[in-house]
Amino acid sequence: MSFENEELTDLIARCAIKDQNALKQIYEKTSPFLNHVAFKILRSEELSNEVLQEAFIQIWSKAGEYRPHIAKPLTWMTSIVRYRALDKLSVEKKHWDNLDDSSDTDTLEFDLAEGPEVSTILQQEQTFLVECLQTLNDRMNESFRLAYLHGHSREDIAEKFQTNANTVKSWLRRGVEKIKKCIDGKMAINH
Amino acid sequence: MYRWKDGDKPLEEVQVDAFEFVAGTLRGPERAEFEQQYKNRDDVQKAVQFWEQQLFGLQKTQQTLEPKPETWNNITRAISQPAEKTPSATDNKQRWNPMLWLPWALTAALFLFVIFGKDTVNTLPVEQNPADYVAVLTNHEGGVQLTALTTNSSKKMWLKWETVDIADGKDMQLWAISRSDGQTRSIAVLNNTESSHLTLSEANWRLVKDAHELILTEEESGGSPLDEPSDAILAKGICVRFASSAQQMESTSGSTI
Repeated sequence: MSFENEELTDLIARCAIKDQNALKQIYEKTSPFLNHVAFKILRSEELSNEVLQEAFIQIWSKAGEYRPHIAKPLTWMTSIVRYRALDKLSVEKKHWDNLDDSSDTDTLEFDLAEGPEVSTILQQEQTFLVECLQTLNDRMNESFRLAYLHGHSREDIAEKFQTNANTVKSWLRRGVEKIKKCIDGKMAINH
Repeated sequence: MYRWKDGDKPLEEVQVDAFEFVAGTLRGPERAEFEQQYKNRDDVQKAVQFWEQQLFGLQKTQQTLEPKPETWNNITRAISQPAEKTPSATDNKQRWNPMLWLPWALTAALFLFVIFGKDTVNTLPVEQNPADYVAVLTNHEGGVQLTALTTNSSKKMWLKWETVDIADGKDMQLWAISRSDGQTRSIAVLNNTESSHLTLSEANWRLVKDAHELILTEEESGGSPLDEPSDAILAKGICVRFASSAQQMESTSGSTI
């Protein structure tokens, strides 16, 4: 069975009328992906599972507030997971010492596996951002990825690049302005 | 210290702060302050939604991490808990709490949706989408008083009435409470429970689309003279949108914060 945006949207709608089976279907299809999203930020399987649990309870309780014309379903759920993970990161004060490489978490010996059905969805979600990131220099590009994918603070990024947090803040802000213009330009062309 | 210059913050700065908020580099007091702005400003909400969608493109497709088996069990236990509680029989405020009656009310809505489908909506042209919004309006005791279904294609609100008691010489008035600005606006004055549908003007259709909640009040004949609902609330209920019509919707927020 393919697992498309429309199907996810329908399942979320069923959650709004408290259909637990719908939540279970969402969980079965997306939880490995979402758990990995949380894991990349928290670097702890225990904490990522806690976040996943909190996020799905929030998905259940907020399903009636989901608006598909504003966000695609997996984007909405991923945002919930990420914000919960960032909250957890803040509470747990989990600041890892080793900031060697963003790919660290990608090669850890956990049960990382292909998620074909989620992949199908993600292919639909490709955005202009990835293209526009290529217009930034390597440090800016990497800073974006470290922040969004791995939950790094400005200070964490500064440590990695042996600079200070204000410089990172400046990189991010200049990068955002440049990328926003790039995305707007591509959107204008495509519309 | 992070400071917003209320009302005059350049759009570029809103975008930058929204990006940092979504990415997670906006932390501590800055983050808390931004969250307040998010709650009150459309432009901030739109900027956050923009970056949530764009940054999502960075997620790698191939990597997954199987959750622990107990995680789903914990979720199931947590979401089942409210149904196991027995609400106080005397606490009217609790009875108005949508969390207590919403699950079964929405189930009832679905049931009624089927009934409506047979009785009325099937009389619409086949290609029309049967329902975009459902609101189940319940009274203080949690009893269903009115179910309202709306269709985008026909701009109609279909009404399924239960027993609604109103005083002689009084009318009922249906109101929409906006999700966007919290304002309460009139949809229609009703002098009986015989009406099976309302034809919505474009303005009223927009009110319904933007509605967080519908309320039904008892008013003077002809409707509220003050154009605001009286304290005599007969029933109220949260609007729920059906997913199949999602792409037609235009307003309301999808907060994940």
